[in-house]
Amino acid sequence: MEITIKELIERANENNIPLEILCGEDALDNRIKNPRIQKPGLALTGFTYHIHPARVQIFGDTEITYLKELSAYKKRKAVNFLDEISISCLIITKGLEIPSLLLKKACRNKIPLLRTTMQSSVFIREIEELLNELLAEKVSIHGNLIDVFGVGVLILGKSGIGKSELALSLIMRNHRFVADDMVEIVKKYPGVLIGRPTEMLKHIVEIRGLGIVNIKDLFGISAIRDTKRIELVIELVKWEDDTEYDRLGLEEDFYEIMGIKLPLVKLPVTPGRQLPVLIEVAARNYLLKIKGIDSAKDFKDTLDKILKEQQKKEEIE
Amino acid sequence: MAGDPQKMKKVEKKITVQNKLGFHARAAANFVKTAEKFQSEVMVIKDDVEANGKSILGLLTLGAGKGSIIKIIIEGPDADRAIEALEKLVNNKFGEEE
Repeated sequence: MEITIKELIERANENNIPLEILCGEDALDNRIKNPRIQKPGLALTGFTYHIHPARVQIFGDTEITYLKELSAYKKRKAVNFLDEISISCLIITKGLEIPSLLLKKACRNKIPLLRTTMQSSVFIREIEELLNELLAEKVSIHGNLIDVFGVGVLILGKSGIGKSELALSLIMRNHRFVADDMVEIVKKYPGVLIGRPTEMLKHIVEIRGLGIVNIKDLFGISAIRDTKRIELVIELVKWEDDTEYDRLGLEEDFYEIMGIKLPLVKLPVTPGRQLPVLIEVAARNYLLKIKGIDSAKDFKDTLDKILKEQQKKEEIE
Repeated sequence: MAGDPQKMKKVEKKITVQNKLGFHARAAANFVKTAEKFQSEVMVIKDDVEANGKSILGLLTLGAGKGSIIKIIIEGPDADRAIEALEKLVNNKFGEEE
């Protein structure tokens, strides 16, 4: 993933991170590919190794003051690194006044020079958070996402199998709705998948026969959430008589999204099956498992122990 | 059976949306109604956004206005008949006048 400087500025301003453009307007198509920033202070001394052009470069008070203290000759030499490396952008923090030499150099090399009024430490934290979000790997999945007892449950299954009705039943049982039909999934941190609705479909569910309904309007603020970490996948499948379904719960199945494996439960659908109840139990079971309690395994262990004891008895007799 | 490789077929086609209002709510509903007549999986792609062709909400998020090019991908035993029907529907402006 990558974004242009133009997009970065727009998104930053939307997120209350002020950024103004001082020069390099015609190079706003430059791209950022890495969410980590760099503070290339040493570049001012001529040491330009390890500068990554596709990261956001930041000069704060230290760098600017250092530059100001230099003699005219050294100042000219110091800003020469902008000739050598075509960095995507340079951001000055704290609303500092920019030494004219640096400004000229950036303009001549068509490097977007930006300025924020924020302090370096705060700005770095905010911009990295934003970049993490903007550069995260994303996919869209056909399904819906509900928070069941605090567990983000992604419900998958073919069109018409009853995903939306199921979501509605879960909402009626006081679980919180995140997304219906299309779930946008972001891999924000390693191992963590965050699900959310697409902007247009926020709070919206389509039910055959009723049409499009708004969950927030119908059930109120406590029935929805904007995002939720996905921890469990339920796949609704059509019941087929000749297919074998898991009867023990000893096998572990997984569903992989962007390289992350999530526990998968396949639920066969038949008329009369209480799917919301089954999903609540699946969520409770998942909560137990992450606390180290595996009912199916415990049961099997007890049974194995009894059988072993009987076997011993038999051998003695 | 859905798993039978001999009966599975995959077809894809690019179509231009021609009606004045584009993929609006009723057009999407018509599209879904047609798609649901077939067993095959239907995907509709515009730019890099992908939607399930049997889901009204999915199609609406594509925001496919007049003149936009959509790609329809169909996979399943009746893919040929499905693509024919859906192409006809879009080309006939979803049965609308303009």
